[in-house]
Amino acid sequence: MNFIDEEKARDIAIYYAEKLDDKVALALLKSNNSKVDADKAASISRFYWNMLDLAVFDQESGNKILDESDMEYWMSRLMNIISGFLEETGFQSVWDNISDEVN
Amino acid sequence: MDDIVREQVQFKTVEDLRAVISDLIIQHREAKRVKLGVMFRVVIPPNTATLYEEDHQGPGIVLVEGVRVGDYKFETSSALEWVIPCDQSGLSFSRTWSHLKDTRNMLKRFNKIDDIQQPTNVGWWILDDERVPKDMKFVLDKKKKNHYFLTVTKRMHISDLVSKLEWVAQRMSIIKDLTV
Repeated sequence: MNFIDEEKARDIAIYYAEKLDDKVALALLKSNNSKVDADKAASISRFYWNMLDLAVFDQESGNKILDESDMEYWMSRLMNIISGFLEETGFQSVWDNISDEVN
Repeated sequence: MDDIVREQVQFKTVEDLRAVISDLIIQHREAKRVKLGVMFRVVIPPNTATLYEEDHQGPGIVLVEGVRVGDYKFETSSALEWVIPCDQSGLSFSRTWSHLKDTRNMLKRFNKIDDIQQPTNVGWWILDDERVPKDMKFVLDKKKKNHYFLTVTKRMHISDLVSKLEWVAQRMSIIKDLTV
């Protein structure tokens, strides 16, 4: 996944993936390999929305995550990075389907 | 169609909103064969389309004259008086329904009071015969198609930026969320 110039966003996503014990997300976030299939695309899509719930809770609770308090900003960046990655790799429809399902 | 769209100042379902956005894109982008034509942005009341009210910018987010510090790059040596150019910083705008929907779904989750969902409006700005303010520019997010930053292209005092963002807000229309 492309985290060039956005290492902090990657670190925050990894923090939440560890908290959610999401091994598929962790592997994708830690790798610079762009290989993904439909199952992994669905997993990382679900991970985003699960992470968002935790981030909303942290922001409302005043919890700083890796010294950051503006979780709205970081969740916006991660939404664009993750959905942008899925779009680039041909899995926009997977992202759309999961997003429609959970919203 | 323009009159129909301009009269659409509220939406009761997400499908209503999708239809309005689709009409605006057809009329102001596709019919005119321009790249941008019309741009969209999620607006959480009581904030205006481009500037935030104190206590409504989100917990823990620093606000300078209505501008959130995270939205623009500030010169750290000037006590947040000056913003500096960055081609990946600026107010967030969506070019398509798909991106707007994702952004709205994301921001909705931050927009609750005592677990009760609050209205999450949408602003739109027709660009066909109006230019972006001097020293500002729409720049595509390097990580995401159809997501743009309204950037500053030169060092600018916060008061200048606020004036320019007020100018933009005056030209934006708001579609009010009546789904909640």
